[in-house]
Amino acid sequence: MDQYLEELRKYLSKYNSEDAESALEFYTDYLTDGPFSTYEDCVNDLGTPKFLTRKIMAEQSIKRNKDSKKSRENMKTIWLVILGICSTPITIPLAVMFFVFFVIMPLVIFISIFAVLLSVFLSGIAFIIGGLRFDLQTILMFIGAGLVAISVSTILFCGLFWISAKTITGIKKLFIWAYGKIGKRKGDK
Amino acid sequence: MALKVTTELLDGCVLGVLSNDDYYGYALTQKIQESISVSSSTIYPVMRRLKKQGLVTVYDSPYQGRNRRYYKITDDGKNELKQIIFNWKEFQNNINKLMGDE
Repeated sequence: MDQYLEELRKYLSKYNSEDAESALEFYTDYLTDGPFSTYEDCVNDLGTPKFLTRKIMAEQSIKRNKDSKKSRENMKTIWLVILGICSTPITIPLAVMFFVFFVIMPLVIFISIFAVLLSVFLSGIAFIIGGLRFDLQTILMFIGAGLVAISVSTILFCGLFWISAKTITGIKKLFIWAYGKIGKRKGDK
Repeated sequence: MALKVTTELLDGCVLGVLSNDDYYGYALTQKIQESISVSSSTIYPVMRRLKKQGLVTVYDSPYQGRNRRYYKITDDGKNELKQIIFNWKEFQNNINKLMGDE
């Protein structure tokens, strides 16, 4: 416990404010009153001294910003928030990876398939119209081919939309899951 | 409890607990954690804020050869608690209306 408080004092001392002193008083009281004997006991309840210090000081700076709008304070807050983000190093690359894999890639695939199907559909129509200038047999053949192209592409359109809807729902669930994971990691304990 | 407790509700919970009795930091944290799941490290910032707003005061009382710091609700704190309870009831009613009250 003493070791924990000593480390907390060390981290808080970098901030050199009276608030740091009152925080240290609070946690000295807290740990003395509670059943915390080993260093591990303290970490299990409050997190590491570094984490706890960040939590104390981050909330402090954000709060102070509401009172005064000094740019130095703002910079401090920004730095603390950046530090917070950096304390989970995988967050940024993970977000980029998620975006590329689950937003851009499906979108590109969807657009290309859509374009192919659209061209088949339009060529079906073109077949029917274009075939009209020949004799009856050829006209019937062209109409048949055109109708086949239109119906096949229509069925595939339905399939494409169905799969897209499923994919979007899946990705949404994945994002919510990932957000929860990261949120938990960033959060307490 | 799976739902997240907002800052205002947490303020209300702390003020509510203090309206029954004065508490020291550790006991207060235990009391809150009996009912809702908040991490121990969130309580100190709440106390600091409530103290700065004049909603609670502190006093030291000797205990086993040292001073233990107790928190006590002020009159402003009691008024604030009333306001939070009022807001909470309204919120609760509206949510119940939307979700269907069992």
